[in-house]
Amino acid sequence: MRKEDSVKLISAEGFEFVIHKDAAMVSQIISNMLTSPGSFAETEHREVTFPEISTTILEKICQYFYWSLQYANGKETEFPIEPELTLELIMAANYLDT
Amino acid sequence: MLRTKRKAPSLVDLCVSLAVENVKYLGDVGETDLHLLDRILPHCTLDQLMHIEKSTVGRDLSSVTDKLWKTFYEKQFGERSTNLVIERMRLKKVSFRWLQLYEAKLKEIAEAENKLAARIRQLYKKEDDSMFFFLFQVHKKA
Repeated sequence: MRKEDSVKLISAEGFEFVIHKDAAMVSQIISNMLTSPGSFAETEHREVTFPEISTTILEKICQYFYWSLQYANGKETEFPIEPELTLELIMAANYLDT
Repeated sequence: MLRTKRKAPSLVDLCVSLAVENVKYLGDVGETDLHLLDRILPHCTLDQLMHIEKSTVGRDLSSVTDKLWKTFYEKQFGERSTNLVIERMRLKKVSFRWLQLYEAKLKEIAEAENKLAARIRQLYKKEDDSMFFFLFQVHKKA
């Protein structure tokens, strides 16, 4: 993955997830953040910090992004979610419009 | 080969269906958005919803759950009783949440049962007393 194709998502605890920008674009919100005109820090450094999303949840969300791309390409598997994460994940997903 | 591409279900939708499946394990719903709860909580049984209401502290869920409690009230106590409550609230120009009304009705029923039990006990006691008196008389004569 080339550097210009990657984006960095940072969790509340400061954990960094480097993922492909196509994956990150699954989220309309992140997509808007990264492509909005003007020189926002997010657009320039290709990184977004989520002070309200824990590492566990952000990791799950990154997995979802890749799963979603695979799904769209015809690999229709089931996305596993641990029941105990449901409520926290639902809020983050709602926030990210995902 | 041309494949028709299907859009993946959204993560929110996946979580909602999972939460519905596991609704019996829900307790404190925390800060979960009301419009999401509105998709999840209608799948609760009465006991499950009561558990969620009592476990969720510092938050009023009534904007989502009031209509559910009305349905439970109606199912448990009948349409007539429900309409009577609505009519009474209208006349007195007051309004209560259906959860409160449901709990009040339970209490009312319990009190009525207690009163009835007390009355029966008293009747029995009277009977016992007269029986005692009767035996006493028999004893005296003998």
